[in-house]
Amino acid sequence: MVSDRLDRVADDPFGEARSRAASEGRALGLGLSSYFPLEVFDAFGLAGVRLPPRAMDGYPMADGVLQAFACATVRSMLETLLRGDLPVGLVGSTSGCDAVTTVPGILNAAMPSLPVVSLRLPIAVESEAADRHATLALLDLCRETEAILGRPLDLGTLEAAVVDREAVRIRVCNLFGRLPVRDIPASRVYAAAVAAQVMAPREFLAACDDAFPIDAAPSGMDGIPILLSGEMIPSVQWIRDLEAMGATIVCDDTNTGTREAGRRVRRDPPNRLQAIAESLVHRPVHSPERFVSGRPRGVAARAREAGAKAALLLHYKFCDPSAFEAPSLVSALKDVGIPAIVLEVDRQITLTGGDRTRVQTLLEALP
Amino acid sequence: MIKLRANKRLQSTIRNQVLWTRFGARIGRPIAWVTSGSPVEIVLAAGFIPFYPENHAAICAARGMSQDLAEQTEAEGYSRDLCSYFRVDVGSQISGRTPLGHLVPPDVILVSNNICGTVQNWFRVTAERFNVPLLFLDTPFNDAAPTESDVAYVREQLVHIAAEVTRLGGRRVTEDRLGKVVLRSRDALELWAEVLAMAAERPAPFTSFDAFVHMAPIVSMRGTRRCISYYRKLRDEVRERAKAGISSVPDERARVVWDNIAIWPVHKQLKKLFEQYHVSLVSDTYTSAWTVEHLEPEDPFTSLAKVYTDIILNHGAEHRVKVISSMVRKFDAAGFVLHSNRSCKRYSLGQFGVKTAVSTATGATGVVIEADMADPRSVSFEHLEQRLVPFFETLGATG
Repeated sequence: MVSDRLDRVADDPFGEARSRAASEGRALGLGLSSYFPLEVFDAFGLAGVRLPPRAMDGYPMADGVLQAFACATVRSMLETLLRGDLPVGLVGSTSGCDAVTTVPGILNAAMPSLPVVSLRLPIAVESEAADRHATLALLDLCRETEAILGRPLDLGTLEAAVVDREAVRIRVCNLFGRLPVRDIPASRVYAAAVAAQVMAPREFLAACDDAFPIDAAPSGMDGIPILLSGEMIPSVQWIRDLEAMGATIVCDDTNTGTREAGRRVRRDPPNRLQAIAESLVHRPVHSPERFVSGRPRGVAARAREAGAKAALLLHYKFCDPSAFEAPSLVSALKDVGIPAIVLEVDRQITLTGGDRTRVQTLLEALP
Repeated sequence: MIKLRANKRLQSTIRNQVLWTRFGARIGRPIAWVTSGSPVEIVLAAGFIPFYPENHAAICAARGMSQDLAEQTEAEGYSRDLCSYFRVDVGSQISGRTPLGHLVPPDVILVSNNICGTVQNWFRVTAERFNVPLLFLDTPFNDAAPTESDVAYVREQLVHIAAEVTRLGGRRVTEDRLGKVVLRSRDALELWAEVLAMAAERPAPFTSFDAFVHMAPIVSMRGTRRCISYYRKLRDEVRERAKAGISSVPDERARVVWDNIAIWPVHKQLKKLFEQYHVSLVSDTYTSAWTVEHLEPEDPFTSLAKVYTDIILNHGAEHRVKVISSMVRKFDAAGFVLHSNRSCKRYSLGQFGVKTAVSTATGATGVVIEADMADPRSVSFEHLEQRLVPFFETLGATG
């Protein structure tokens, strides 16, 4: 199948990251959060990647440096880095939730030789002061990266990287935009979104052209239409498990999907870094730790417009931003007639028996 | 053991503060609910009466009400994994139950993320519940000292907040008026720092167990004359104790430093355990967070921007290592206790590395204990005892 390439990458993103670094002869620039601007790492000559949660029974090395009440995504990140089995040249962190914010300090203590840079983005997003501060924060990050790598930011490469990464995000959004018409299974779209995080942008776009031809015949999926909201998906298999139960995702609000891919870099500002910084604080769908009034109602409206009959909120255990958002999101969805349940995941990357029962009950309860 | 006379005064001070809040509301003074790390000086200068939900949650926990209140919040769909102060405080809002009689609702809410990311969500939930404006001070997290651009960014927000509280019914916040409040804050902070520093005496006349309760006025009344008066008396009393050689624990045999918030559900039991093993808890990172320097009444906005960005929880693990190591040396402690607080990720995550680094830097012995600041369901005194007793014994302190 033409889609094999994206599916293979999505099923083994760590293998892809490793082979990409080897084939391109570049170290990986690993962004720890979904909104780290990988285009900056690309411009510094690194192979910019983000990684989904790692499929493993436990995180023994992370357990040695981090308490049990941190979410599995943070523990997975730490486990990956502590194992040292990826050719990581630089780690990029961002200010965000309390767990992510502590990661650079933990890494500095546990792996002093691993360089880590932090993008200290403002949390407030509705002021010129925040925009200015975001730009200064990105400049600081670039200076720090220059000092670590011993080479300057190549503005020509940055320009190309901004264009390429934007093209990737637009493509991912377009794919998710096709979910309501149900012409492609969501699992394939999520596979593409995961692959977009590790593949070289142009290679990803070419693979998408092959995998999702515009004139493809509709697949005619007839499952129960649902909204999926939450953090990074545990794996594409997790989505396939939902589909096998008769759920058809028609609307996405996840960090794997549209939350990050919805970011747009303006073309007009003379300062490219300023444009990137502003894109980070003006993302149309923000991570929940940010102050965005009306977000639950916005998500509910999108779900309704997409024809969702139910909603699944994918939350990692110990993820504070999700846990704070859940009640208001459930309430906003209920107000538009969409019942929702929270699926709390920890280390598992496939749908657990308990969650299957919850999903089944939700689907069966729908009129 | 001779108890602090200030203990009784603390009760009456808190009671009077609660009564003042109610009276103030009755005569039309606006009420601001604020986080413990908020620049309260601005709301005071605007004539608002501040109220501290974090303090309130701690009082609820110390009075044994926290589980019931937390369950009220959990019933609304909030996870039990969220901060217990949040769950307790919001549970009180839902149920109307509080050891303070009743809560005076806010006219405005001021939150700063310099202590954690949780408060911005907690206070957003609260603002929505009371349908009042939410003012947010974003203080960039730092590994080291705040940069000039950080300070400029925070200062700009402070000026905006000052204008907003005036617009929302307060007096105009002039630099002169704000400077006077800042001066009062500075006086109180200096007195509190003097009190805490006296625990360096041998035997320690005042411990962190005392500090955990006597910190209430510095958190909730700084910027007022009553706060200065309270700490002047406390400072004088602790000074007397130091001169007289009065120890807070009988026959002091070991001295340790504490990291993180107190464990309110077993606070008294823990205090007794330390006393039983003759161990003085001589310093801690929590109560000393209110001993900041460099508050300058002459340039209040810039000074507040620097101070409120440069507090311990707004820094990374490396800074914490420096702070704890410095405390170990200054207070001549042989060990340190890191409370891995399930409710506070910002304060707790990374403590394993901190433990190793502090031990390497100072030679002191460290122990990590797992508990929660307010939720008794996540606290086992027996477990704490099993961790602490062998730790005390390694320090040469036996019961």
